[in-house]
Amino acid sequence: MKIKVMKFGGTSVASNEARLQAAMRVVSTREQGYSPVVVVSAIGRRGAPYATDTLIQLLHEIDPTIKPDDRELDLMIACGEILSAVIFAHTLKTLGVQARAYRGGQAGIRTDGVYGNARVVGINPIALRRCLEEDAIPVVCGFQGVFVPEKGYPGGELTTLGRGGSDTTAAAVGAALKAEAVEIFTDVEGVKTADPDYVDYAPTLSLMSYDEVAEIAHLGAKVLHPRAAEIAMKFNIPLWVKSTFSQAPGTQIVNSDTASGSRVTGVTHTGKLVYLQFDLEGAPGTHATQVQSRVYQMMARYNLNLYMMNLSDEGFGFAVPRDQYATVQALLDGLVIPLPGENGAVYMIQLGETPTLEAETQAELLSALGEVRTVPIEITESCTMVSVVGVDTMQQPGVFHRILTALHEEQVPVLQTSDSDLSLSCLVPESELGRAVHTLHQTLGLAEAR
Amino acid sequence: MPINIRKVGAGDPLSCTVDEAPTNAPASTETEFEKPRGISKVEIKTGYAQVRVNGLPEPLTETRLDVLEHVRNAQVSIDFLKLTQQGLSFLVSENDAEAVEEALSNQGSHVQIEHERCIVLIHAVNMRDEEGLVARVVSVAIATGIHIDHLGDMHDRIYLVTTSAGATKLKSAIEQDANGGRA
Repeated sequence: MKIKVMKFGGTSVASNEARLQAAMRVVSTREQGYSPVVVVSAIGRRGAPYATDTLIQLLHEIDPTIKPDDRELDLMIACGEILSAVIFAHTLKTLGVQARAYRGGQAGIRTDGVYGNARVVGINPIALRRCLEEDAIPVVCGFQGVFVPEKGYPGGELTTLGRGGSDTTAAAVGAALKAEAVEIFTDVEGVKTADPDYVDYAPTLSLMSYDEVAEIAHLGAKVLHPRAAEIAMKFNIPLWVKSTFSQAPGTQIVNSDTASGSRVTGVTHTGKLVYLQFDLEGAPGTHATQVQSRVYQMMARYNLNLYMMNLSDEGFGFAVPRDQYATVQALLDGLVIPLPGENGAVYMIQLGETPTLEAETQAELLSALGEVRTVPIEITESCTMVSVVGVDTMQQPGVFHRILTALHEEQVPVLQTSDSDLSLSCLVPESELGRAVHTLHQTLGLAEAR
Repeated sequence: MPINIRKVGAGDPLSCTVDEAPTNAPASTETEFEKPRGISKVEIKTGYAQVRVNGLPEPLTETRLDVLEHVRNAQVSIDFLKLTQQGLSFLVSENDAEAVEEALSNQGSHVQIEHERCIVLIHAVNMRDEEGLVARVVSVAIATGIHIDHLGDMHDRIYLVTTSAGATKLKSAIEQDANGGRA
């Protein structure tokens, strides 16, 4: 049995017409001798009647001040994929083929117990295999699975897989069924060298490696979720990204031996961030270390996510997601860090150059205890990360100089950088994002499709 | 509080046998998929030198680019570049340290090269999305009291730069914390 997993995203099932085109592709694949297994996302994107956001809104409308429980939220949003799978299966039936819809749990997808961001820990595809053996097409709800908390627990707890969950479902089901290929259908023709919203002529990449696609996806490309690429890589399953609405060949994703050679893959962007740079100039080394230690402990205790960390003799810094910044502000502004001992001191953190009323009052009250040393934090709100991804590129002499010079010549300020074997990310003001993406795309000669 | 949010393995409630799973299929049909959350590996890489260039004159962006141009002209590849308040900092292979020193000798700024540095690489899949994980690792590292020369992060790893002796202790402290305090 030659199995092909075909995943259709929200826009591919958003209307009767779109769904019919998707279903026709499935039928055509079947006629080519494959046994298709379909994975679907919820119908439509933000604002559509059964889209995930719309379902969440139904709960928020009851009382916006009370956050729904993660468990209930998962039950709610999973309804979007259930509706979509049932409708898709019925559409296939109207085309004369047998099809059956499966919830994640019915498809045998087991996850860990983290509601809203569960990870797939195992799949038992027996129900899907039986369906295929009976010459029917399984239509699996993307984005969901079940968690079995303890022995004998009936049914399991429904969980959702978090962002890009349907791609992850497709790759995992493909791996469990030893599929010949996993095809991710979307509304673009494949993986592009840049976001077409910023570079409308960005070409589609014809071939790339799992590592490359995982990196590009981690750093912001929305066309495929990195978790799906990681599963496909682990099981060496050929992965395709294609458009539901065109016959373009799409992007094939394979192992790095097949897609070898030095190249720049693309330019990506991600994140709505706030950058904080702590000024510890003049603080003795032991004090600086203790202040850093307390700050990082606070960030960990309140589950804050950090990006673009740096450390030098003059201070340290990091970026935080904008939606966590209110918590960071509340934690840090006017925070007093007493350093006991013979050479002790009292430090106080101050957000921005000018102290807030709270910080000023705090400093005034503490002055009775002796000298209070202020640690000002320079805040840059509205930042984002723009990244260059490439294979055997970041190790070449001069690559940092080339990228930073190009941005400087276009007057894009770079606040901080971060790099790995496969990528170089620059933190830039969000207002300069379009210019940054366009400049790097042009500088690196990405207009020529591979 | 251990760093690992959840680990899957023998004895863990998540690694349930098939009798406990939603279907009653034989165990052989189960396949393990995604990497577990939390730290998957801590490794030490040796043979680096850390270059710090401080006291660069204004305009800082341009003088930083001058430094990078000199390093490029020396045909030296750099890693883990960070912009500092008065300059920049990066790593080179120990074999290239002398070439960098020579390339930057006429810079008129303060160039400091720390030799025989090690990188402690802490791997965790999608770690920036695991709430508090990055901060936790760094706070554990700083709490050891070992001097950290340089640090940074990507979506799947944190790196800490220190001496050889420091690297071994950092690795051990981070692994111990990841294992819930067990050595």
